[in-house]
Amino acid sequence: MKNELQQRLDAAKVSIMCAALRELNAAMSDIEASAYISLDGYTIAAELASGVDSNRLGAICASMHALAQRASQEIKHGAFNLLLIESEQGYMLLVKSSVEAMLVVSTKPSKSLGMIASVSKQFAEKLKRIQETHKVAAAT
Amino acid sequence: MKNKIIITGAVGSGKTTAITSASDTLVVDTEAADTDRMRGESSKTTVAMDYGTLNLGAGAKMHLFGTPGQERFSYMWEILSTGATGIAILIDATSVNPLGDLDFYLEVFSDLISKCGGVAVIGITHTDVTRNSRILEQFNKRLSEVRLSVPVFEVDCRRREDVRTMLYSLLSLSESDDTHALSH
Repeated sequence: MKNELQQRLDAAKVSIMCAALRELNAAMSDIEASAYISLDGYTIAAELASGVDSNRLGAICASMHALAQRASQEIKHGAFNLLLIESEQGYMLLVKSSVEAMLVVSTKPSKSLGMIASVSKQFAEKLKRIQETHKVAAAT
Repeated sequence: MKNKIIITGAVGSGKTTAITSASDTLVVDTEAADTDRMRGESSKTTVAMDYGTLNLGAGAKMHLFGTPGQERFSYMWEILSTGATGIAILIDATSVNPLGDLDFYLEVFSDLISKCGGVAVIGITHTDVTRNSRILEQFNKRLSEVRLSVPVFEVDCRRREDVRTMLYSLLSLSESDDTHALSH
């Protein structure tokens, strides 16, 4: 069982991550939603449209991330960084953030994919730092 | 895909270990560090699939697809089952309710078992640490109750020969018309 301090730290971390995700969603008009998801499929923080099941999305993204990583290795392209899914009504990006988590970004149909990918990578790094800062705080 | 075999079962039943033991090629696994702190221990969990192959001679191969164990990845069960020609269900003898686990997986994969013409086997794992010496008998009784003629094996997933024996029995089932499931 987690103690009270650990629970407060976890809640604070999720709150800071959600703020970062809201900042990402507002950074470009084409970005609609985003979530920070552990590689084993737990949604850590999410700013998604209502009606989207964040738990189910988290699990599905973990499967896709694992397969994308494996495919990258299989074709000898080195470490996996980003997976892009193009659909009729928009794009979805899975961006590797750390050894434990990924950033998932959902967009409208857009002509600014390169910029979206670049901004997403910056926020993936930012979320990684939030997670690592929290870990240090929890350990001290 | 010819000889596409699904290996399924609950978390910790030995699916990844079984495929690793049996495969003639380097296994494609998709394990991620398990961050579910409620489990209270460091472990890994399959999040998409395991894949390995078993050479059958004359260039033929058995393709082994392991499913994730956690139910929140159940969408992968359906995806991986497409085109499967047989299924091996692994049941952990040390789980709280092994017969309940058996009922669950028979129900979840009932369509696949039906489509495969009953090419299915049950592997009971971790029997070396269970206190239930009658588990094989209990499983056969339950299968008889649900009118399924499915072979049951005690399998140590670390032992290549154990896993292979179970998988070869799937092959013999698929090649034999008279040993299919009685009904479902």
